[in-house]
Amino acid sequence: MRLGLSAAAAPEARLDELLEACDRRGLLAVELLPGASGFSLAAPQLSVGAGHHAAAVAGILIEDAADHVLLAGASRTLGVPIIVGGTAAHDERVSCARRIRLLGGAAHALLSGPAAAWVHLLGESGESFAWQLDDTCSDPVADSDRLLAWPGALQYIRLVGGGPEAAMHEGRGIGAVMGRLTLAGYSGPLVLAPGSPRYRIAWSMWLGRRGGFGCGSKAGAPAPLPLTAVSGERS
Amino acid sequence: MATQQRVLDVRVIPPREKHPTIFQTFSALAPGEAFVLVNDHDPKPLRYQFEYEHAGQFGWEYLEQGPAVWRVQISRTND
Repeated sequence: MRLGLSAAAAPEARLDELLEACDRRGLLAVELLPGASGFSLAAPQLSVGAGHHAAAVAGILIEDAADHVLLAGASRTLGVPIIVGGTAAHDERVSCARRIRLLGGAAHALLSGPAAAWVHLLGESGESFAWQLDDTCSDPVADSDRLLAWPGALQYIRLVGGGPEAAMHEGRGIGAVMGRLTLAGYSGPLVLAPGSPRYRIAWSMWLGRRGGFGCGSKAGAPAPLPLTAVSGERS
Repeated sequence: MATQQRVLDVRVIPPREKHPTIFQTFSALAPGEAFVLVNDHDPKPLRYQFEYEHAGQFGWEYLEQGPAVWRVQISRTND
């Protein structure tokens, strides 16, 4: 398991700044979004300095999957999967991910909400997928059991409301989910994303600081990252 | 999903659920198995709790000691 960060947490930060924040926090993966952190699907390249960080790009989250050729090309160029999210129905996301793969890219459909509603897609397709764990998932523990029943299918996880919002997850079963992922040997990225623009300041402070909040740790001096809203994010 | 080293990153777990999750994961290990605990501070209090509750039953090896993260391999020894 590689804990990571979505660029949605600091879309105005340059990618280098995002990677530095990941280094400070010991995060190993970064999720890119078109239009955030200077990333563009039309010119999918990373800065020269990007390779000097411990964190590496783990995926590109997209909400508009209209141009499959462009998406497949970006995936090939950066060597990372396209995470097909957005407002399309789950079966459409699966189809879109399949088309991107047929064009030579890597892609996973991002599935969210109660797994009972879409877990049949895994059996039908036999494909890999990404899971978004957010507040539309009413029973994360039961859902994780359903998903882990398909060995090898789960390749990417987005945890909406992680980072500085983690304490607010108390009682939702996140600990039990993490324990299950550990015992199942999940080795993919687990990307933290903000749950709401309301927490932007908290994310900025969290990303700019090293250290934790408990057991005698002492946080370093904060260096907040710039934060603004990105299109399509829930308020 | 490749089955590689088992990693339990507790940084995303609400504070009050961290230790119960760690001990439940440890309890699910067979003798000789291990997982790598990842945290944002030195989990010394956890080690004290292990020594109190599982004396002689666990291994504790630091793989990384800060400044950003601490990685500790916690293993279940043969009973």
